[in-house]
Amino acid sequence: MLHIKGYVLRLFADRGPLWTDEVIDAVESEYGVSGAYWRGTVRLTLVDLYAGGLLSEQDATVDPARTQSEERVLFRYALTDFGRERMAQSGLATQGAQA
Amino acid sequence: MTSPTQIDELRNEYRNRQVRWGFIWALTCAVLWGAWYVPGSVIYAESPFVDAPTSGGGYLLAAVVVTILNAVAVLVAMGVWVAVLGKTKDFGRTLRQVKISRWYLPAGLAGMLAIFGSVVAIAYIGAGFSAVAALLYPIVGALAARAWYGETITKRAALGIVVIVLGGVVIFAPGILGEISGAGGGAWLGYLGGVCAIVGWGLEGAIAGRALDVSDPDVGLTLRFVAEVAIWVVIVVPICSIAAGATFWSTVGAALTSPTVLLLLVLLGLTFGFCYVSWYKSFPLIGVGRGQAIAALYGPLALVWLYVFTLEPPGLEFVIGGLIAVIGSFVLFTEKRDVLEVIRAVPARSTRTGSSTSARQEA
Repeated sequence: MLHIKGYVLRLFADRGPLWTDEVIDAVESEYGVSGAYWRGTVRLTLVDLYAGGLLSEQDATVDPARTQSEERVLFRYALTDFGRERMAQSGLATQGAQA
Repeated sequence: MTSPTQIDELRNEYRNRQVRWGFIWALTCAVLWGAWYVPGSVIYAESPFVDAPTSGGGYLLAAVVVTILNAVAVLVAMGVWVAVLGKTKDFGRTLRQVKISRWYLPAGLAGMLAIFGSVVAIAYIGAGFSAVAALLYPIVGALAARAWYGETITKRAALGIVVIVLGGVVIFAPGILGEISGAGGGAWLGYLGGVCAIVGWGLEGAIAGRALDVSDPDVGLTLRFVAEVAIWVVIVVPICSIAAGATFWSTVGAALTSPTVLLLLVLLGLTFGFCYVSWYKSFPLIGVGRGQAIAALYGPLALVWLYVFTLEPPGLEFVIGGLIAVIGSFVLFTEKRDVLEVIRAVPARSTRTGSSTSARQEA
């Protein structure tokens, strides 16, 4: 099993651009975690990856139905070429990942 | 229904918070790093370290023992921290990703050389010299991160880093001249220690910044201290055992049976451990260069902490140098936010596309 940050990167490589809540759902079911703390942890992981240039921001929206009735921004991120390069260098790239 | 303008505002607020937290972590690092100097200097006034002869290898041995115990204390603190955060399993998973976890070995080695180098610089030249030497490390870190993986260092960021370093130099300059002229025959060891601190911490930041791309900061820092403790135990402890023999082990034994030393080790572990965690957390958010420069405010802050505990007022140079360093940090903090959002020179923002739910029109 991959560590969470590695799993998130691979998720983008395998599935293409994703919204924040889709990443949270995937992490929750993969690692059997739930609750505000882990949602925050996943959001922070995405922020780190975005600031580092591994993910690019493609879109932003607000939809309380997808954020536990809170008014929170949801982002749609995509893996950048730099992110793909870092995945390859650190052994995270998989066979069959999207180009 | 939230309007596109409101979404845009919320989005910008979110990104502002991202950058602000980067600076908050770096500043927290500076505060705790400064606080570390209180137990870090008091421990030498306690037995068995106070009895170490200041000439020959005695002081060096005391420094080795303090540095080893400091690293172990930090590792214990980090183990608890990672467990509290529920990341112990993620620690194991990251460790098994050898292509990622192996980077924390050179990071730990560079950091270990920096810590030991600054302790040696204190011993053979003086605390002021050691502090100033270490303050220069953000320059090495920023240059290494830029050359190695294209971290964006704008002219303004470079100016901020230089101003902060200058502020630190002004604070310690008067003391340094006396220290350098009064340094004895072993002074070259002290200068070597100073260089180790500059290069070591600078390179550690650059290496960590790279490894943190693909791993969590709390987990990454704990791996880095596992590496440092392993280097001490596997390489340095056997050497000390052979070179100093019974003296080494009796010093370790006396330290670990002294309640005061144990209390100081807890304080060392907490201040140093959490200063390091904050340092690592700031790197992905604002970059190695900025994170290190703000963390270099530990110089002025160490004097504030020492003043709080000793009530010996610092001189005028402290006030002037402290103000210069704070101005430098504002130069960094007030940089345009869009420069700070993505810290690497990669074409990240150009890939943005619009969609039906998008509030943002600009690419």
